[in-house]
Amino acid sequence: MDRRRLLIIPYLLWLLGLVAAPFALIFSASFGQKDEAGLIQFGFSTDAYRTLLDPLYLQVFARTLAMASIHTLLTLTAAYPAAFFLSRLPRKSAALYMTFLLVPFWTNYLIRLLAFMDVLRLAPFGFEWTFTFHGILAALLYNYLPFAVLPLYSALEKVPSSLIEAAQDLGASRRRILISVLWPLTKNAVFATALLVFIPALGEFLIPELVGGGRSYMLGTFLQQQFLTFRNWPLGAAAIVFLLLLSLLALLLGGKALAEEGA
Amino acid sequence: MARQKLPHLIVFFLLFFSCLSCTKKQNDGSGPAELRIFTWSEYFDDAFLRSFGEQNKVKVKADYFSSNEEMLAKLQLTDAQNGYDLILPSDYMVRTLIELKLLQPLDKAQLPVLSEFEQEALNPEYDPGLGFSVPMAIGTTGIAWNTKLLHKIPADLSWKMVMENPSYKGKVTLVDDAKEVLQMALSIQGKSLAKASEADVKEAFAYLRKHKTQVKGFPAETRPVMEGDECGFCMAYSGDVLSVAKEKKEIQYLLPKEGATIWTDNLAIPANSKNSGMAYKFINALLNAEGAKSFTQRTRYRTANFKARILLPNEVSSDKVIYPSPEERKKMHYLVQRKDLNELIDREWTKLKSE
Amino acid sequence: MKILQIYFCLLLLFLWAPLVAVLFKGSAPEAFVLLWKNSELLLAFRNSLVLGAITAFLSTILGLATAFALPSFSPKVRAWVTGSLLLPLLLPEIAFGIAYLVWFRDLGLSLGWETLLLAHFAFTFCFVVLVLKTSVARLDSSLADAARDLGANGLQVFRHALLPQLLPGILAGAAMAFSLSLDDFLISFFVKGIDQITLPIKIYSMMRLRIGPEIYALSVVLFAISLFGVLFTQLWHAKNSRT
Repeated sequence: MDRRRLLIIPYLLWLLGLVAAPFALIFSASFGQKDEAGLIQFGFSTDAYRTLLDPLYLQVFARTLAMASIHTLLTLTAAYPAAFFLSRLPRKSAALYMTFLLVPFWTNYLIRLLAFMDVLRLAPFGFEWTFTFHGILAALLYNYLPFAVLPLYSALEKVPSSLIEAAQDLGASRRRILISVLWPLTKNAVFATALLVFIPALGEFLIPELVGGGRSYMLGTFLQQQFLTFRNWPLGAAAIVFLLLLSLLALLLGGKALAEEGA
Repeated sequence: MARQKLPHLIVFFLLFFSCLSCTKKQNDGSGPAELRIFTWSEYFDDAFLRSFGEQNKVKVKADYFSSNEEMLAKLQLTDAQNGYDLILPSDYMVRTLIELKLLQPLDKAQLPVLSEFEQEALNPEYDPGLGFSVPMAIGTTGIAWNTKLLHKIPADLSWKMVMENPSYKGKVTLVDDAKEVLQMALSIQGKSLAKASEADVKEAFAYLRKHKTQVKGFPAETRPVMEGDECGFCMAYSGDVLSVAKEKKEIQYLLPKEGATIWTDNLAIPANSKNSGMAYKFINALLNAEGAKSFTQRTRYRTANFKARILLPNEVSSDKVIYPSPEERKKMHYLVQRKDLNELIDREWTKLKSE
Repeated sequence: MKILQIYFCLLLLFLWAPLVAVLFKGSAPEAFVLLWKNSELLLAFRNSLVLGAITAFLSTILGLATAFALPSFSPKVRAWVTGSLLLPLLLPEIAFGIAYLVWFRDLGLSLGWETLLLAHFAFTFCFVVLVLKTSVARLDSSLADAARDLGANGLQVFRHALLPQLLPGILAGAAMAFSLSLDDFLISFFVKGIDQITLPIKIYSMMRLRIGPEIYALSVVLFAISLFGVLFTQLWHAKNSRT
């Protein structure tokens, strides 16, 4: 058993060299100041954080949180039934269907997005989708759906059909089955999937930019502005640290769920 | 079981590293001389780069960026070993690069092509006497009018009309550039970015916020928006509009009464370039009479080479969009770098887009 | 169940519809001719395929190692490890890109394939581990025990008892790593050297102009490759299963 532990070394190297390092850099940058060249003068200054507390920027955070939350709810609601359907199929068929779900993602992200936008421009269902908030949500759903289905399928697969059949025999309605059988068994996976979908959405900038046409100013847009256009790297770094704190909070809340899921 | 896995892991590692080395084969830094260019994508033809490389026995390598700021960030963070020989900054970025001492002063003796340049182009505000840059593409930012969406427009179209006329509500798009939009608003109020005070900037943004309902959005890429009939009046770059107008007859380029922004994309040599001699040769080859002529024909942007204009077919050289008249030229301004206003502009721009 | 099946098919329609147009436009012979002539695009394509394959390979092997190591630790440690795997997701790409550029420079690395691969490995590793972790946790050790009892050595146990069970997870993880690598623009932009033109970089640069038919043709090729890959694994899987 001891030898097995050595296999954790690659992970540790990855964690220290490729995760801790950039995070540390960002963290120390947030305490720096913007210098003449637009680079960072490292030091200890809370300028960046104080600027961040401006209601204007907090509003950007709030809006991004709202968008990410709605998007997560939407994606989970869309993914759960699909995952359930797959879980009732025999393994081989489920794998095949799953691959059909994933194959569109073997093209380039940008091409996919532009193709999706071409469809949006045709104004399906008579609505305008480009330059709108709901358009952004649609594009996000398009992008994240398969990634939500995978882990949910993983969890739902473990729910034996016999359990559901038994509940049906006892006269439980579909709704009852969902609430009393499926939910308790899969809620940990749902939380984990929610995090997987929620957190990256916070940093999204391409979709709000391209699909939203610059109408919705999100955290991702803000970061692009700070790191590139206005070259205020400490402010951008401070925003990221803030984002990190929010995400860690979300992680801790779902952390218990993850612990039970991984066992 | 783990005991048996380790040797297999080692084997896999060896395989991986040997795979890595076979892709490395195409990356030999020590070989024929290189010309490393960092550029926007639409300017250089593969064919041109290849023929230049063959004629001058040099390997031309092009790297791409999609915004001036991306270029600046990468430039600042890379050392000489990973640097470039030629970069393509826009006019305001040239100013910034000069101040950051990232450019080599130009040796005019190696740029005979400058003798074919118009007088006016030889002394721009952002780089007096062309000490560090050579203008390549010269364009303007005006309005693309979609006749399909907006059938009739008044003869004297102005930004003011575009921003205030209620019949254009929701049909206007602006470029996703704080300074361009600010310049536009300032010009409506008879002011310019060069001389604006903080109060002027605040007033301009207040005006924009007041009329934001006119604006459908600030698309990052205007071409798809024009092609998709999504804007009646689209603030756009001249070259983009002309390209779209080639296929789409209902798109026309208009210069509003208050004027427009004129901008240049320039060739410059980074201070740490290792092959500046070849860079000079490239500039001469690209912008001599023949080269400049094909450049304009391909990209629909004019150059500063007056001989090229003579060589161009009539339909190009008399195109008012590519070669605006002197009266129109008088109403055009470069975007200037106003470092003192940067933070204010950042805040106001965020505010404008957030609401 | 019928409703769910219809729902799933609608979902598939939703995901595939935009691509139909792409595939349609890309299947025109002129598009392929243009693609064939565009040597830069083809080179970028090849670069991305190779990079993606190596990234997937590296992430999968090391991810497998990590997944096997995890059960030997306490549940608390496992929870922390799982949490830490989500950390890279928290950092927006632009921050990663710039931070890596600075970090690699501080380490004295020259920008090139190595730095690009390191960065790609960095953001795909976590996904792969998350996928493999579940696979390994669900391993039925009885098969392995039986094989060992019958005298099989470590390699045989792995190959015949464990690998078949892990294969779906391995393929899923590798596929995910591959597609993540294929898609990355921003991080690649910052950490690559001038020689490393990848597909997203090239496409992004072409986006300002217009998406020409050769890009659609390229998508068709990519699509074909992945379809082929899927069919191949299905057939191979079917061929190798003893039941």
